[in-house]
Amino acid sequence: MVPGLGKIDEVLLLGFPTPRDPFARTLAGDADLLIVTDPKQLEFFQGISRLRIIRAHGANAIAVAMGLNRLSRATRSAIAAALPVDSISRLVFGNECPAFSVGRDKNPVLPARALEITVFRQDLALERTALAVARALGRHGGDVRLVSVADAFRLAKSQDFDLLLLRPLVWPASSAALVWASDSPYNQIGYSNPKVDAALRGGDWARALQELREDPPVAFICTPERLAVVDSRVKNPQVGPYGYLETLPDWEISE
Amino acid sequence: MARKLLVLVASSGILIALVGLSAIFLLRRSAERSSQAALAVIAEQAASRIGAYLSHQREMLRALAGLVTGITEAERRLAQVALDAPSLGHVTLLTPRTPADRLPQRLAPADVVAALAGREVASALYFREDLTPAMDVCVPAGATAGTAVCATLDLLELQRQVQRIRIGESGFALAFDAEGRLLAAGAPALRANVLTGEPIAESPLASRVARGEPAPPQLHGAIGEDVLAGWARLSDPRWTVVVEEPKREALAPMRNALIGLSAVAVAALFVTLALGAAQSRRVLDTLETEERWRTAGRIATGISHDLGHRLAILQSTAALAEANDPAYLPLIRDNLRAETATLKKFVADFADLSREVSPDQFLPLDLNAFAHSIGRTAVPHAEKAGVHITVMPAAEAPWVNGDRYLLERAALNLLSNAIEASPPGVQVSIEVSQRDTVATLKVTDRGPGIAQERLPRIFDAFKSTKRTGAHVGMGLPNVRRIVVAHGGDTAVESELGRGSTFSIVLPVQPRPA
Repeated sequence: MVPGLGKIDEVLLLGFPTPRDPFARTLAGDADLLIVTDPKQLEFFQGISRLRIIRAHGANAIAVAMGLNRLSRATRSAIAAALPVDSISRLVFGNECPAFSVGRDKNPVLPARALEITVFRQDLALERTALAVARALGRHGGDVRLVSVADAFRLAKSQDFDLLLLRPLVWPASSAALVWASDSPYNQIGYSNPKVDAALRGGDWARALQELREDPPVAFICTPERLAVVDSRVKNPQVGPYGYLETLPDWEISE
Repeated sequence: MARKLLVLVASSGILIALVGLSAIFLLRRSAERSSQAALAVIAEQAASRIGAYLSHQREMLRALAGLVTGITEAERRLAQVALDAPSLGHVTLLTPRTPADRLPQRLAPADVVAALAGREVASALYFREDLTPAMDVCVPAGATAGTAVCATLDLLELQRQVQRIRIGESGFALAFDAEGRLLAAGAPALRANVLTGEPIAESPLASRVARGEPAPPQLHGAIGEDVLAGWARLSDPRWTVVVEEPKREALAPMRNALIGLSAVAVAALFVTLALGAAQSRRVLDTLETEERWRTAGRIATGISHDLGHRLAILQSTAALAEANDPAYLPLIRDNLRAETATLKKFVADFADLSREVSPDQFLPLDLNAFAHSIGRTAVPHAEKAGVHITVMPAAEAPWVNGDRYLLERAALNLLSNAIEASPPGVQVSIEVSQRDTVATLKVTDRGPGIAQERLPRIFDAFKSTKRTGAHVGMGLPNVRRIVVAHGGDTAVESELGRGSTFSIVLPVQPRPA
């Protein structure tokens, strides 16, 4: 950041070869803003007066995608209603991930077989969520299978899975709904629902979300906050609603 | 006397200052040792907590492993443990058939083999994908031979423990592995090194401590300043914990106390010196007053004695005159002449006493020529007494600075005494000599000599050895006063029946160009 008349003149986006490097460089004072993906990572910044932690409403949720090829609409709705998202969220994230509010069905009709839960191995939070989902489903919860990121995407496209842990966009509502349009490039699991598409075409986000709840591609668990570490000289840092850096023009540097 | 008292007071002050400085030095050393001991205790406690935490985690894993009775369902149940024990991640059952991609990430193949053979193994600390510090550990599975239970220990809590340690304002703790790699840092400036693995100033020392060698209690730390340090070692894993506090901060309370103490001590010193000087001045004034009165008394005694004697002679002379007998006229004449001469000398002695010695009026003086001069001056007196005066000059004339009149008065006084003390027909000598930086003028007679017990006080006022009635005892004190005022000294040697030698010793001056 180059301070000029209290505003930021220039932003340099730095890329690093490993996840450790941006942390090390930020700790060493070589970078002024760092996006943090896990609350545990904040531990490194405790007690450092040069940096401050900022939090914002999460945009991506922790969610359980349900394979469209293997699970019927009724089964998917039953699974979504069966999951105790509140306790799963608390078990995995403590208070760091506000749970979705969903109506629960105490006697859902779930498949007789145990549902296999797939998760990619490099996301430890998703891995723990998968374990928690397996436990929550009881005898209906099957093994947790760890796969590579590439395999996870391949499975999502093929829809040949029972349950797959994902982090889909959920906020703001307009963007969240657009993810599930049949022709959306962000529609990772190939979900297609003409009623959702019609609602989106009409700009009725609320109806689109309602349709999604009735024919759910995923069961939302919770939405972790977005976290960042910013140089303390920045007076009013706020994470933008769509991207971290959207509000940068409004940031001010203490003289 | 005043100078001696001042020297005494100043010496006391220096002594107090030295004692104070020693106390400050000792206090500083003591404070350093005390701080270092406290840091070592904190380091031991931190190491103990870390050891206990690791031990607890491994014990928990052993307990879990003890519950494994078969392969069936074990893997699924073990995986669920991570939910209830967040510090145990990736709990898995290790068997000879475990696929490579499910083996613990950081265990070497040899360690895997050892684990399957029933040995407990652990990896070095590493950072997982989410950057939490972790360690892979395998323990033998209880009832199932050839299997082990492995877990990834989440060591975030250790990182927190180390980071939470705060000593004063900016003291902190650091944890190292056996190779000196920084594992956790309380100092924010060093946390980047935890992630990059770059060594810091303490790294080699930490390796030494891990090997059981001692480490310095003071060092120039990685934070860029001198620190006091307390070290502690864990035996398993062989990690080292050091707790550091910047020296300036650790010793700040002591330094503030010392500054206060020093200020008080200096103030006390000054007060002592001031009081001592004031008291000394008062004592000196009192002594001076007393001495003045004592001197006045001695003068009064001497004057009354000598003038009384003169008065008695004059009274008897007056009685002879009243007799109107012409036969008495020669006697009356001689008496009056003698008494007039005595009273004249008496007045001259007092006149000498009243003349101040002013160094700014000193002039260079050739002591050889001076000796010849006073010798010639004293010749009439010597002839009258039947005494012969001999002058023995130095081989090379020594030069001194002085008030010629006063030095003449002093030398003539000695010469006059020598003449008067000598029986007729003997010799009185004036000898000049030089040794190193002092010149000496000696006046020697062959008179009766002076008893040894009288010599030490011979130059004191009113201590005349003659007491003939013609001397009030002011001559020799005046000689001493004059010589001392010239930066010199006087001396006397005497032997009963063989005579006396009085010396005037003066500092030699360069010969004038």
